[in-house]
Amino acid sequence: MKYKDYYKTLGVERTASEDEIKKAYRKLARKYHPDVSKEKNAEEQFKEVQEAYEVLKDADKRKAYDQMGFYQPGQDFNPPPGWDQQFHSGGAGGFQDLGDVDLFDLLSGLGGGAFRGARQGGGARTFRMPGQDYEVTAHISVEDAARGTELEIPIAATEVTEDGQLRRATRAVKVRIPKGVTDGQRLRVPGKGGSGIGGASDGDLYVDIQLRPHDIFRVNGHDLYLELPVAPWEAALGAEVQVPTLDGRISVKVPPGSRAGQKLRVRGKGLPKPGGGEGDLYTVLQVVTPSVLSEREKQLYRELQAASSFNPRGHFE
Amino acid sequence: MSYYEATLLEEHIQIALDELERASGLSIEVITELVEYGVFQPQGERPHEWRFAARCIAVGRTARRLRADFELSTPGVALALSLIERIEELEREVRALQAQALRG
Repeated sequence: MKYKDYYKTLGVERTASEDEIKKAYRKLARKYHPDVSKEKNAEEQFKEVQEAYEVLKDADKRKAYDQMGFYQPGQDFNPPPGWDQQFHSGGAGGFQDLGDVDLFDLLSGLGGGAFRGARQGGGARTFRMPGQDYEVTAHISVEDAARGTELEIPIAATEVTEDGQLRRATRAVKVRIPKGVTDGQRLRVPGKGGSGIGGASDGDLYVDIQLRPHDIFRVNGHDLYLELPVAPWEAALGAEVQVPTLDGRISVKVPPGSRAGQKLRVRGKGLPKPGGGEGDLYTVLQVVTPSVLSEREKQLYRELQAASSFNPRGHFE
Repeated sequence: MSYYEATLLEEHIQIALDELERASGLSIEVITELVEYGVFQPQGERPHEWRFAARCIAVGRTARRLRADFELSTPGVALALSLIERIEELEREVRALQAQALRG
């Protein structure tokens, strides 16, 4: 089992009072709470802070933690002999193997042999605890968002075995993502979070969608944006150009006299919407000039310069 | 092993009060208060008729976390949620502008 220094996490002395611990937690919660913080790794940081506070605010858990001894963070250790009888009312045998058990999971189960017999439910000591909800972020491509996809999501969690032992296990949950999801949306898979204990309900799995950046398209909700480079003469005279969409190429008419930055909407060629219908595809015109000109091209530009009265900076005057 | 269906937490899917209670971890009492503060706007007159947009599950879970982690009262939670919603709206606008802007 790996040691975690909860005092260090909260930035308090080992002799800190309950009040000092609470104050330290409040300050860090304000800084790292994932619902309000923009700090890097806020979620991971907050989980550590929350875990430390859960243990240190509870006198019994703090005592049990303190009596495990002090080690370096991350150091492998086992509680001293007799610790489990004193705090876990574990009865015969004690812990068989704590190699991969999470320290917090062990401390969370304190208070009357919580885990032993819990699986059976309704025993002499009925302990019920709903399964934990899990939240994961799935990074998917724009194409997968449009078509829907299937994912295998690995979930590492401490589970309670049939005989009440704690075990760290990774399992894969196979999840079907429906078509029509987009960046920042959240999905729920009922009952696929942590297992409930003592007959309580299982937790849910929440999947946050993040779209991977696309080479060509930028995504805004269910609309797609595409930068469409056109030659100066195409912008001036109008043109019919081929543009890619998520389901093949289409023709788009660039009207005569188009300007850079102008948007042309192609209805229904964005991402499908979950309630039906589709977003739109916007092509944003970008007028590009050739970086290398032939003599003939230069000559034609000079002729155009001489013939045209166009003044692009007229509004400066 | 078969695949489990993931349900999108969006406006067009509706859920009942007991489902919101279970999924968000909020009590019926707190949910009712959040309805009074206008955080949740269910369809239907009486609680047993209420139908919430599935999006409320995500909002409700945030509310539960804010209550527990900051020891906030319901009015405090309602205020924090409305500010979070405003930030999310602004972030959506920034993303929209970034999507429309030319890369140059």
